[in-house]
Amino acid sequence: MNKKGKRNLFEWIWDWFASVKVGVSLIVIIAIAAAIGSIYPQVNAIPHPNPDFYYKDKYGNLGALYHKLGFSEMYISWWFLVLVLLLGISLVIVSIDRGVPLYKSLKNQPVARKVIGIRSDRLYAHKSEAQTSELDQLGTILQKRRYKIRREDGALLAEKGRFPRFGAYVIHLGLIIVILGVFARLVPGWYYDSMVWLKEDESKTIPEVGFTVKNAGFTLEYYENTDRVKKFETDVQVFEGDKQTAQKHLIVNDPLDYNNTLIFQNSFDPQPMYKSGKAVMIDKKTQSEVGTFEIDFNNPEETYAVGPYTLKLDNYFPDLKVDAEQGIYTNSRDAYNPGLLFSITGPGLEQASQQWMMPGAPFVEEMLGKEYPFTLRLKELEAFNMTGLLVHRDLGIPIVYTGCAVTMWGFVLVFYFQHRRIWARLEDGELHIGANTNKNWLGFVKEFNKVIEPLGLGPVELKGKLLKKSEPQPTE
Amino acid sequence: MDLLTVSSYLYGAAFVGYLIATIFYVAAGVSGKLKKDTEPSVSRWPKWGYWTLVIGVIAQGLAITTRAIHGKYIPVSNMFEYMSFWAFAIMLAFVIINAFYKIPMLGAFVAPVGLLVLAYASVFPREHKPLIPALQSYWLNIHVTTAALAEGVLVISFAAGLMYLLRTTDVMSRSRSAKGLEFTMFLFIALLAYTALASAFAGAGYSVIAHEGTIAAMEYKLPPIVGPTGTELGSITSFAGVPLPLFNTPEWMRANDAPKQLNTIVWTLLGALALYGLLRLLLRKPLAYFTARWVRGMNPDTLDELSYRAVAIGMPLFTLGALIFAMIWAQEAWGSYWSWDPKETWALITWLYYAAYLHLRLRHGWEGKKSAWLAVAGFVLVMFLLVGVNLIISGMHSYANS
Repeated sequence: MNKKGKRNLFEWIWDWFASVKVGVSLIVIIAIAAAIGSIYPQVNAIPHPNPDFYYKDKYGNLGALYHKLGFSEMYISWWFLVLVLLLGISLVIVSIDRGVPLYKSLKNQPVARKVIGIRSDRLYAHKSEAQTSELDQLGTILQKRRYKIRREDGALLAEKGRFPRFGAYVIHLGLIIVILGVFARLVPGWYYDSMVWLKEDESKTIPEVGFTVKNAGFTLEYYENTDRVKKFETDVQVFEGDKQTAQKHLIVNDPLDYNNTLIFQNSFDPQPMYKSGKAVMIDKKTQSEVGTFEIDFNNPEETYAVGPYTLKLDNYFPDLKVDAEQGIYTNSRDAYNPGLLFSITGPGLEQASQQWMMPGAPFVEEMLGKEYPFTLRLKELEAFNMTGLLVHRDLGIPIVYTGCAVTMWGFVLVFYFQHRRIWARLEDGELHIGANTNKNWLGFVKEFNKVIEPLGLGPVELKGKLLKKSEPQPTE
Repeated sequence: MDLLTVSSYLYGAAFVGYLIATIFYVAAGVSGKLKKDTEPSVSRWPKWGYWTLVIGVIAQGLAITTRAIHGKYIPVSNMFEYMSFWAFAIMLAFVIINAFYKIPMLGAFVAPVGLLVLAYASVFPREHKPLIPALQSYWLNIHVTTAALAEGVLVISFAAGLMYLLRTTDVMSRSRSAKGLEFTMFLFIALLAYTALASAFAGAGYSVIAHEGTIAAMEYKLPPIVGPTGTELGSITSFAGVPLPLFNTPEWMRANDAPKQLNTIVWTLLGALALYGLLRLLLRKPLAYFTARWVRGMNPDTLDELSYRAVAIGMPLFTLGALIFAMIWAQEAWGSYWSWDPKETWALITWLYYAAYLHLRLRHGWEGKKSAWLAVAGFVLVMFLLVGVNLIISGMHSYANS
């Protein structure tokens, strides 16, 4: 729309977006912003709940400044998104600005060109004393080569591969589709993403996606004699209400697709949790075994009868922590490090003897328990790791992939297909043949010479240097 | 003899092949008997170089195949495997492209780069480790190899661009182009110095642990000229009679292994300056002057065209391998096709860079010198994408480091 003279605001904006300089500048600015965003980890990737503290602590003043300037949330910052949006607009406008005139000019191109024009083509051949039959013959030859032929009186235009001329705009279209696909997550209900941590046989309902996931068994395996993880897998079940509707043995790299919501084996909790165990009670004096009892660490009994003794559970700390200020407390309700406080009554005990059992902290237990009459030890233990499942719904994914495919198609069109045109004009008994292409002149010269050979012409050579310019795509 | 041993012999054979090819090419440049490319080449060196290089490529192809059969996946899962595969991709791209373009001295610029990359690969641990779950996917084979091939082709663009610049610049002048070319030579020397130092110390099994036994313990693979912040100078060790460290990492550099990285940079700079100084003393002329002689009589238009053509091949491949396949795999393994992981981010930056290159060249008339400089700088970007990101910034791709 490069009109001369005064432009109104719309035209001004249009031209601004359509300019190559603006487009390239946007590309460069986005690249620089993306690079800055990669210097330190982004907020969503740091292992600490308080970013203000984390950046200062880990990366010093530079890190603090980085966080303060908002670079730590670069890719979700409004101005980064605006840049991407501007690039998207530029892609649309530039494609219309250049693509539409190109389309029109190719659609309306005349069959009969002036002889003087044909003469100045880079490939040109002519035959004197020619007749219409030779023009017909040329048409037949080119038709066999799958050229599209248009005829007018004494003139011929053969064309092949017009569409690849729009390859660049196909790439642009692909990228626009990708950007739309990415932003499709803004449509309500199209996007959901959350981690679900599940203990064994635990299930959680996710109202946003309308189903319940259950961990029906998790396995973790290491490579022999190493700490290198070989596999971690979950038997996952999906319920809607009380009805089981799907199940899968979930492994990394192979998600379960349930009504367009994907469930991934994402990670696992490296710290195992206590599930159940068989405890043994030993009389310290005689070193003889009094008896055994079973503990369910998720739901311990109030009392246990062991031999002639009764163990009453006074207090239970599933995730025991000892701290100088807070004393003994539980960090969570998950049995990472259980502490059981028993009152033991029975023969030989005048009053109830209170005693700690801490299978995960034997040293603390030993320190506290010098006077304990009994030893309480776990003989057998069943532990498990929590599985980390990612529940992810993004209905924009097919759009993004479509955009990717279109982009690739555009690249192939741009770089590997050529637009070939051959004009012929019969004037005053002389046949003029001219030809033009937008790339791969070398191959085209060969083809041209093959085409004109049956007419008793050629071979001709290309005018000018073969590599005069690297495939410019002149606007008509 | 198991397959892994066979494979490692084949890697060795490939290395020797590339080394001999490089020597042939450099000899061709030094002998300087090449005439204009319209006339038949007087020297046979480039031809010998090419065919030795072909043998090297075949050897490395077999090395990769045997290692792949042994491990049941194409070996591209850690730094050694990936970098050596890239070296293979560079050489393969050259062998194929040169078969079409037949530019005799192109190899003189590609072979040393491929050789260096392979040498650099060998600095990393070479043992075969089984795959962690995230990598257990056929996409590992598809995504990484396609990306590596693309990055190999982009090296050809760099080499041709550099040749174009050497051909069209008066390297003895004081122009910015001449200075830029000399600086490019220096960068290559720095790469050489780094690879030589790293492989020499790795080969000798050098290792020093600073602050051993404390939580701040840090293992140095090069003598620690630069110590961690707050270390007593000269207290860690001594190397060649010099007590180390000579100075400490400034306090504002807080990254986990900043001292090691700074130390590597100092070593590389020292090595590069020493090597460059020595070469200048011996040759008494800018290095670019000598390499410029290698491209005498060549048609600059052909070089310009080749540099662009390589991008025309490399860019679609890169889009497919480094972005699209990467997205599909990330979606499957991590549950999201894009997570702004540093490697992803830098792949996108590289892609944007070449997108800008194509627009500037095809739409803004940047042909010849400007375009060639962009192709040369593109190589630095690709290097950073493949090496820098892993060593300096690490994200989810950091397992590639192990």
